[in-house]
Amino acid sequence: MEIIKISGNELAEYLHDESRLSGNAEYLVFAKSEADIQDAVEFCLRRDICLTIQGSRTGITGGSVPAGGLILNLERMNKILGIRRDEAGSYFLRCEPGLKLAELREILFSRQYDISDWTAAAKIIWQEFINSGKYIFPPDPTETSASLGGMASCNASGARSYKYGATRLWLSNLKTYNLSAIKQDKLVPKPDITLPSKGVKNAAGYYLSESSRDFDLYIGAEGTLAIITELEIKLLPKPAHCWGVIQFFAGETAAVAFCEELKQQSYTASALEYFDHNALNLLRKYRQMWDTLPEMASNWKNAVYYEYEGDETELIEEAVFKAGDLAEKAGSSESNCWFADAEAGIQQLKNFRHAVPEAINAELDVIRQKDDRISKISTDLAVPAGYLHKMLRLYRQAEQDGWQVIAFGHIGNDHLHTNILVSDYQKWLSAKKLVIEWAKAAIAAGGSVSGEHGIGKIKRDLLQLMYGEKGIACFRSIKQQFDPDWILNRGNIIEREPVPGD
Amino acid sequence: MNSIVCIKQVPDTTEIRIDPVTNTLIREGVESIINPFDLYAIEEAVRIKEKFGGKVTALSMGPPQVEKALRDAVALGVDEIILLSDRKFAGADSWATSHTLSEAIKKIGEYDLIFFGQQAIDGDTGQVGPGVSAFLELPQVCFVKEIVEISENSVTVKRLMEEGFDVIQAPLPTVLSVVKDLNTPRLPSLRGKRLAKNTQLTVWNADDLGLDEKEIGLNGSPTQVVKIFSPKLDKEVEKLEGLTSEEAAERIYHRLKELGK
Repeated sequence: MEIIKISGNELAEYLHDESRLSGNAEYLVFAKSEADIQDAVEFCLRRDICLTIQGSRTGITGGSVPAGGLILNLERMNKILGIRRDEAGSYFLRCEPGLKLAELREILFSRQYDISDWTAAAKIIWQEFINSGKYIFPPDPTETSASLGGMASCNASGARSYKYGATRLWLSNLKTYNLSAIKQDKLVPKPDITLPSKGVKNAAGYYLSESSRDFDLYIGAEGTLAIITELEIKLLPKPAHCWGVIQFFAGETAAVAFCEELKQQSYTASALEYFDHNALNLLRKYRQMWDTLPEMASNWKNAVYYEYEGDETELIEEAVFKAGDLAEKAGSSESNCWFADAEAGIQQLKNFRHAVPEAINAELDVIRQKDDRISKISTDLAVPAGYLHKMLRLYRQAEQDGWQVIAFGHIGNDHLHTNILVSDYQKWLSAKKLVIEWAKAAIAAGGSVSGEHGIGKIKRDLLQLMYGEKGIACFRSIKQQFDPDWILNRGNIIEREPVPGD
Repeated sequence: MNSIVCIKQVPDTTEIRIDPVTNTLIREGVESIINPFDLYAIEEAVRIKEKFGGKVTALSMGPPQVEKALRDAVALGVDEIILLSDRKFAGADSWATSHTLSEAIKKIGEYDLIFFGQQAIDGDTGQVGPGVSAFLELPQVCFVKEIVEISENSVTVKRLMEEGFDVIQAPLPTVLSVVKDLNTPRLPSLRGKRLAKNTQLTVWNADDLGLDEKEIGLNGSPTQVVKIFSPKLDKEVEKLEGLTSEEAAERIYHRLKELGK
């Protein structure tokens, strides 16, 4: 194992993630095997320094930003190690944690992979697999350069989690490198905290729901409990058809009413996403980010993206035309939309959706040139069904009070990413306080402070709000039992309590 | 102002893979789409209709499944769709295709402008537009990047050149092959999708066009494909390891200088 000493500005890219939070570290290791991981951990224990696990650094809460010590980068552990088929005929791939989602998709698409190292049995199953049609791995975080290990560590979701759920549901097994012998079901005391209402997307803190799987606790633990060294992922036969529509509306009330109606339909959409008027205006400003699409009409204020998938065109067509009726009923028209039923068109619609956070980042970069203390203010608040309108009222009130509020994202799961863009540091400080007020409202409604991004190093105050002292103490006790020396991903989720006499 | 847009159904290139053993396209499970260049032609014809009135007819030749591409064209604003489909058309090269399309255009009769995309992304010849203009003895402009003006009996266009553009005026009717600088094609709306479902498709075969078997399909095609292969990629990688950025930059600089000799 080669340990690289970090000096000066070299390797600066490994010191930050997409949150724009920057950290520091003394050493960097590109692990290629479990043996390297073990060596790196022992190196850290000997020197009493902490270890930060990195995948592709696409997170937006600083989870892979080092807090000193050593960076254990896993991007070179990116192989697929084997394949399995269960009795029901489902296929599972055994992957290393550094494999990127985009790389996995390419392999699933081309069905070409070098399997010369695999066992004879796995080779036979692979042949059957590539002859049995196309498959997908359903979780779809917007940033496809995310690594599988990172996706598991944050329990990533994305637009399609409306239908397919988060990454957890598509992981059938995990192999981890542990620093203690403790097991999930032997935790003392047994965790006892109040979780968000059922059905709320939740990526805040450790997973404490009832589970019979001994690896569930590691999913969403943001690398604080163990190092994921291997993942077994479940694949799904690719639906033969996918149709997508961006429907435009003249106001938020109509757009939200349309979404509520669409959620009642018997054929479930695979994605249901929202763009508020400020999101569309920002996209108008950053026209170059989506210039393969035509201009938006000036009376298109708000938009909803929805997608239907399946093997039978007739059913999809029926669902889409029904959605068209609902859009008309909500006051829009079947002419005020963009429709796509082939890969290229769907990709254009997705790029339009992806352009919203990209445009926000572009605005933020300009602001940060003036004052780099200002970081991104992007909420990840998820609330139970029926409570979104309350949140939207708060966002619109803030807008009336003069804030630039951009709300977009996973309306199907009552989970919007509401961003605030500010012009100076004083306003940034006030905006942070405003977000705390919003978080309190979401928690009071039975929601979560993080639907999918996780807590990382920048949302610990929100986690405290959500679970209180008792909850944080519970998390701290779990962390202590799995990682007695607190070397793993220090600063994520919870801070180490000062030890008396330390 | 009536336009005819000739379109082709092609495999979606975002899904194209080459079989490494046989060097042929893997077509299994690949979606078919309207040739992307043809979308600019459709868009321009529809814009002209929206401005000056008239109608847009989309015309295509191919097997029955090409109906999907034609219906997609309706969703984009085309009014009438005609499919030239007959086993006897199979195997046509750009000559036979141009000939067959031009006979269909004669049969349609009413037209001021005939649009083509610059080329199809599968065959890449770009010859069918010019071929049709030759068979119909009509003027043609290729690489059209802008339509400057349309009057009752002429069209003025900008033709894209290597270092600028030509401004060309042509009498109507005329044949235009367009490039993607021309416009940003719209996406269909749901209203368009409904119209597409309910529009009548006209299908013509060789007899409908009064064409002799010798003039069409493989029999009417002078082109012979001798061999198809994937070009061999000739690249060598040199890896510089264990160097600081300055040393690496220095080495690369000298190596590039060497290679440039």
